[in-house]
Amino acid sequence: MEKLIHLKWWKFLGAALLMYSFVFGLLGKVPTLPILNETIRNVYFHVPLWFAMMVLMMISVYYSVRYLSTQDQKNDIMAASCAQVAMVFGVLGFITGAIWGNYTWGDPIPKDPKIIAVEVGLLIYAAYFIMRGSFDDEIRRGRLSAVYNIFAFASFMPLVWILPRITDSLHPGNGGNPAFGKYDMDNQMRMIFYPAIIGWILVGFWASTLLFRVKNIEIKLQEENV
Amino acid sequence: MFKMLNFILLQAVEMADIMRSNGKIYVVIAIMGVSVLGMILLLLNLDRKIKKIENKIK
Repeated sequence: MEKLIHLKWWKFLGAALLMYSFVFGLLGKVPTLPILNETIRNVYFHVPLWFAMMVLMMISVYYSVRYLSTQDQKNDIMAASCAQVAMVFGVLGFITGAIWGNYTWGDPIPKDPKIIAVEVGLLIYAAYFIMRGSFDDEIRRGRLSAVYNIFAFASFMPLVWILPRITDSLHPGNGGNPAFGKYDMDNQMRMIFYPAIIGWILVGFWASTLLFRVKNIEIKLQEENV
Repeated sequence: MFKMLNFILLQAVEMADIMRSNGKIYVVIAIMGVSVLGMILLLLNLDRKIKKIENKIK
């Protein structure tokens, strides 16, 4: 992991993919649909935020598991940094979704199972940070928050992926529908949508490694001063 | 007849609704703005943290 942090190519790749998705997300051709109109382009800007959040949460859980088996504090810090950026992306996804929903569904926060599930999920993750803040002892904080992180992930995924599919949802791909066919996405849209997802994931991971490095330096300084 | 009139009247009504004009493209712009703003807030947060460390080193 240390090696990956100091490599540069994936950071440039992420930035380039994001630039590409921002430019061609506006210029590219999209299907003409009623009500949605041009806002179908939000598929490039709203949906990848959620994908990046999910991937960052997965990475966070990976480091939590690593922490439990190695007891290395660095793993704990990495897990927290990833979860922090994931949370930012979650809030951004929520705000952008509210704006989009206001002009297409007619309500910024309709009573939709997926939105309620995400609200619950974000609260679960908020509790993770509150919990981290309430311990002074690093070892106890690391262990308990690692276990809690695994629990949070394990409850978040079924909440957003399975529950909305059981009932009816305004979101495409829910309520028993296949996922991407419902976006009315053509191949040209996919050419921008997938790079946008990868770009946001890479930039999100970049941001979490930066947070990780800063926190690491902070801890080292504290150790030296004591 | 009344329905017809209503339809014509409704068609003529035009309100100042920037967000719904031009195929709702400004909704897309707003969302792009929010996501960029979010990244900038992340950077500001990092800036604050680094500043704290800088002050400690001094």
